[in-house]
Amino acid sequence: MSRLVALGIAFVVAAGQAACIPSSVLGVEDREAEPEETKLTWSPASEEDLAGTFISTEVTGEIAGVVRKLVYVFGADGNYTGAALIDEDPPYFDVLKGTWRFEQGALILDDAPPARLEVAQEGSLRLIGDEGTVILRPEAER
Amino acid sequence: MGKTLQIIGVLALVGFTGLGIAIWAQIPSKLNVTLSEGEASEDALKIALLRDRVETLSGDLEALTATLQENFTRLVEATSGEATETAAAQARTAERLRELEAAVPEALKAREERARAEAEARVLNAALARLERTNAQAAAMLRELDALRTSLREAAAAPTQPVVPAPSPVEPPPLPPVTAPAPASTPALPDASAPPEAPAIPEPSTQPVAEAPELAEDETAEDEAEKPKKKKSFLAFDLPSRKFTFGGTQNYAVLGALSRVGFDGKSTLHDFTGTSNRVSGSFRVDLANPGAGIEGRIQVLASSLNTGLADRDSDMRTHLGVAQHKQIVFVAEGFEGARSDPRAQTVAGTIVGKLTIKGTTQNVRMPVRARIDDAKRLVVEGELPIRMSRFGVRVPTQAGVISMEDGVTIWIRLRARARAGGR
Repeated sequence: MSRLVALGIAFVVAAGQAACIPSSVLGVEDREAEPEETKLTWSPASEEDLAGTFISTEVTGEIAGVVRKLVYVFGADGNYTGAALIDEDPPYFDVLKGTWRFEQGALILDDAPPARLEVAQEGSLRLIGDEGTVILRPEAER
Repeated sequence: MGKTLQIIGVLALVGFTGLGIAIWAQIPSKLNVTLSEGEASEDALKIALLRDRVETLSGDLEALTATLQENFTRLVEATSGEATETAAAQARTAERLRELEAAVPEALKAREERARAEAEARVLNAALARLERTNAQAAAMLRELDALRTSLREAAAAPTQPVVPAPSPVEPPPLPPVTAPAPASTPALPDASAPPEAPAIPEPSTQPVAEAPELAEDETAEDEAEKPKKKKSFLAFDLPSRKFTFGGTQNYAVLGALSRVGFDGKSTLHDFTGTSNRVSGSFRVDLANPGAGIEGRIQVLASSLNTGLADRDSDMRTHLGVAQHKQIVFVAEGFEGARSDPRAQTVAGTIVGKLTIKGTTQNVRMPVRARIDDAKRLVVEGELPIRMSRFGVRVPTQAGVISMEDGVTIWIRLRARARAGGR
């Protein structure tokens, strides 16, 4: 009898708790693992935002199917060096170095076409060119 | 008396009047005006002075006129001289302009040619870099070949030594259609004919190694034709101009960092979701025609499933036997009911395959939808209701009161990228 009573009490408590604990099922719209970069807000960049090492986190547009990863080191003296992991069979790294300049809100690397440059609050850069867009995260030296 | 006075008066009046008339008549004949000598010389002096002054002024005026005339003449001469010089200068300038106009098209042409030459130089530089890489590979292959030939010769010269197995033919990598500089300096390898005591060793080829590139020339030219052309992008790199294509069979690699697999479960207490982003795998399919066939494997690290409650997760891992069955695996075998839209770059249908949980495999069919996102990644979503008991997973309960339902819904949100060379 006491056992039955205990079970009954447990059942009532459980039922009561079930009524109190909300569902934690993920909504269909929340299932997707969106890239973090979609949550950044962007504003026009200046020359001072460029110095340092940057690694790509998102590549969109035509170049997205060709470039897997980019790394740039921009010097305050106007020089830069970069490496790109090209998605070919087999994939390979292409490296280069040159000079950069900043004109009217656009970053120009050597004699390449200009790319509009934007910056996010935490220091990420966004390069927007004709063939696509690249988001670069600043990488602190260790 | 009065009358007398009157008469005297009248007579006086008449008398004076007559007298006046008579005198007046006499004046012209009696009056002569003559100038004295003193008055005449003063006036003459004045006139002479005036005359002299006038003459002086006249002389000055004539001199001034002459000077002005002379100066005007000089001015005219000077002006006409300057005009002549200006005209000459203008003529020279016009001539120069004509020469420059004639030279402009040539300069533009030269500029275009220079730009073309620079572009060609860049292409050649890239080709040179490729050639250098290929030459390095060829040199390594030649060294290997040398070593093999040396060991063959040694084996042929020493019959008591164990028979060297026939070396597998060394296939040179496809090389660009240019003459490799190395062959000129590579010494010709001597023939190493097999000795009678070692019949197992075949005769090595007597062709010099330098011919290897030529043998593969057709193949290489084809490869070069298929390789996407490069162009300088805003990133400063010369990127292959390979566009993503929806159609055509391609290999896709799952991007674990951007993929999630989960399940929705119901229990007595509340409904909950478990997720994992430790997803990996790849598959091969033609998105424009997935019904033609799909093959691939997706796997999830079982121990990475997370429901947000540590105790529940611990129980779940025990029930799933994660220590022994580390992966939950789905193997795709076919695609049914394909609805593909190459223009919108979307696909829908049902993937047919085998799902393995806790070592138990069952045939399943999962409805899926796929699209291409801005980063040219394939985004796949799908849902699959299953019963845990079918996979040998005991339904968890707590004190016989709190229990979970046998049925759960597995869902997937994958992002995958097409890999080059996967066609």
